[in-house]
Amino acid sequence: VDFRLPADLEVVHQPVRLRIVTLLYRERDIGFAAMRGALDLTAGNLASHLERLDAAGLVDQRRTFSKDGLEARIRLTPLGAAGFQRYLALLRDYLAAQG
Amino acid sequence: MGQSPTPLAPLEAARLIADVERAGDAATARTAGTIGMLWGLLLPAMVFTVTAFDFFLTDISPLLSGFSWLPFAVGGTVLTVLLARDRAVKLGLPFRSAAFWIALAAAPVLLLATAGLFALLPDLQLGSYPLMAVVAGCYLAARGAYLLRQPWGRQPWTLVLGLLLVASAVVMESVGLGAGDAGEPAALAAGLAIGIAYFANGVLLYRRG
Repeated sequence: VDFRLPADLEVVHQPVRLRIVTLLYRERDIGFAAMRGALDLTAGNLASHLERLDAAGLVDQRRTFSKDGLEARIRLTPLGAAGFQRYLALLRDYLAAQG
Repeated sequence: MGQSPTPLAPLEAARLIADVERAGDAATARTAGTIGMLWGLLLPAMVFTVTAFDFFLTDISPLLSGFSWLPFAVGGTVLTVLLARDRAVKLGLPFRSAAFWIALAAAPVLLLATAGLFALLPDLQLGSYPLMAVVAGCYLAARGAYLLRQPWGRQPWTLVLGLLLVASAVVMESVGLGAGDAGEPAALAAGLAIGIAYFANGVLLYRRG
């Protein structure tokens, strides 16, 4: 049995983006620098994957003021959270069916 | 558009998700464990200080000795805030964790409990320690119930320790151990029990990190 995903979830099914969405699902809202450190990614690599997720409407990127100046922050949109829950359910069902 | 540049096996996807989950859980468990150990040291220190004031300084105001634990509570609260902030800063998170607010609730609850005891029941002959043990036990039990819902914190022991504290304090009250000549030893025993329960809970949490 193949592991098939709906078209709107295919963007999540990639190693880096899956780790990004998992981290966002747990933390809800996280700074760009902290995410880069937590996932051990270069700024360019992280930014390009965030753009893909942003274009799909799964994450929301914004700039906020912090004590260190302007900071980029990322959070999962309601669509992204619901999508990740569906992804987890499909993955769980597939792995259960595989035994 | 939307296709993965590298095929990702479902099992590999599950492993990636588990790895990310585990890393954050560890940081949270270490912070919560450190906070637990901190209060495990501070709570008996509060009880011991109040007992020492009562025992050695008999001519001072009961209000002064009753609130001699306040510096410990303030210090513990400040350190709790700093630890929670440190975790938030490290993870780049907004500082609004529910676990933090629950941890922080201990000091004002103890303050209100003791203030209520002295203000509303001035003729009460029983010591404040059984009451403190009830408050501390209820807090620990509530925290245990909260932790049971966390992916990293399935700790029935926290709940059990809290309920044991409450039960021991109720027994202490019912047999009059908190009053009269038995007051000081009972107070020290209650303080030590509270401290051990909190510290053990902290160690258990920290070791999960």
